[in-house]
Amino acid sequence: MPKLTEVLGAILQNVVAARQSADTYTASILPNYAKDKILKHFPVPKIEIESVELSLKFAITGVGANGELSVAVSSQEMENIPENQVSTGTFTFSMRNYYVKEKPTEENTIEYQLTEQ
Amino acid sequence: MPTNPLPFGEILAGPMLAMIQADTIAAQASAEFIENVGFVNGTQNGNFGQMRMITFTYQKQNIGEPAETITLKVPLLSLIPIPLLQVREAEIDFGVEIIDMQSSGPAQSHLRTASGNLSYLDGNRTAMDVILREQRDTHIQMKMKVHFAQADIPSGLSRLLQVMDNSLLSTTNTNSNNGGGGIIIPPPPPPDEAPPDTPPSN
Repeated sequence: MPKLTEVLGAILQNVVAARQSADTYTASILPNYAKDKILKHFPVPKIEIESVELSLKFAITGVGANGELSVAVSSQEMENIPENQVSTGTFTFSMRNYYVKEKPTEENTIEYQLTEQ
Repeated sequence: MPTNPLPFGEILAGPMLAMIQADTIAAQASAEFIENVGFVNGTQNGNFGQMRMITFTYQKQNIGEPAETITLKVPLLSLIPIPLLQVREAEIDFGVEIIDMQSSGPAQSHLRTASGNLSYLDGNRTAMDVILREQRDTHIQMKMKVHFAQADIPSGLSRLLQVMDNSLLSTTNTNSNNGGGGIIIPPPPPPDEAPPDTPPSN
């Protein structure tokens, strides 16, 4: 059974992956806009996820030594769980934008910093 | 409603990609409108050529002066609204049934490969396979309301566009009849006054 932290982490990972797909597509069409005499004056479409409201049904199947909840979330796992043991969690996520800056180090490697600008 | 499990990330990415494509198609339609309506012969070899102008005349009379005919040439594009549509924001509600969750590796993520290169794109992920369900379906385990919006262009991206724009070449054409905009008025009459260096005659 996965842990609740893993389930929420998986959801967030997929949200980030979806945003990455959208950004990659925007990057691929950027040259078309820059080269066209008229389109270069148009804003390049760039979609972001501002917020996600999530309502998740799960059933707690166990508690680990460090307090982490093991949960059943898939339909197969939930099949034999009575309705009164099913919990619903409501979560709201919002996305903040960070940009990557390269910073060379003394060991001839590159460190990456996340900045808001 | 699809019944085959889909990766959860693709369900989220689908609407975003669709909105970007819709924006691109709308922008191309607007560009075609500008090209076909605003210019006389359309694009030839990448050159837009002569701008389509509207010419009209009117009479202007100042007090104590004879009426003069003013000819006005205005670009057609400045007179008509250009259709410009853009997806500003979108909100999508959907419910999914979680079919499977698989972790591709240990819970701890790593940031570098053995060669020292950043590889967060290859990092461990938990894959979720889901089936889209109707909102009233009892099989729904997860309901989501996602709010999308147009993002501002990052400063680096706008600088990149500027660099591309600066690579354009412009030439000056001295032929005044080349379809430029603005007002064309009759040349003013020569001045009646004597030159400043000439002493006034008595």
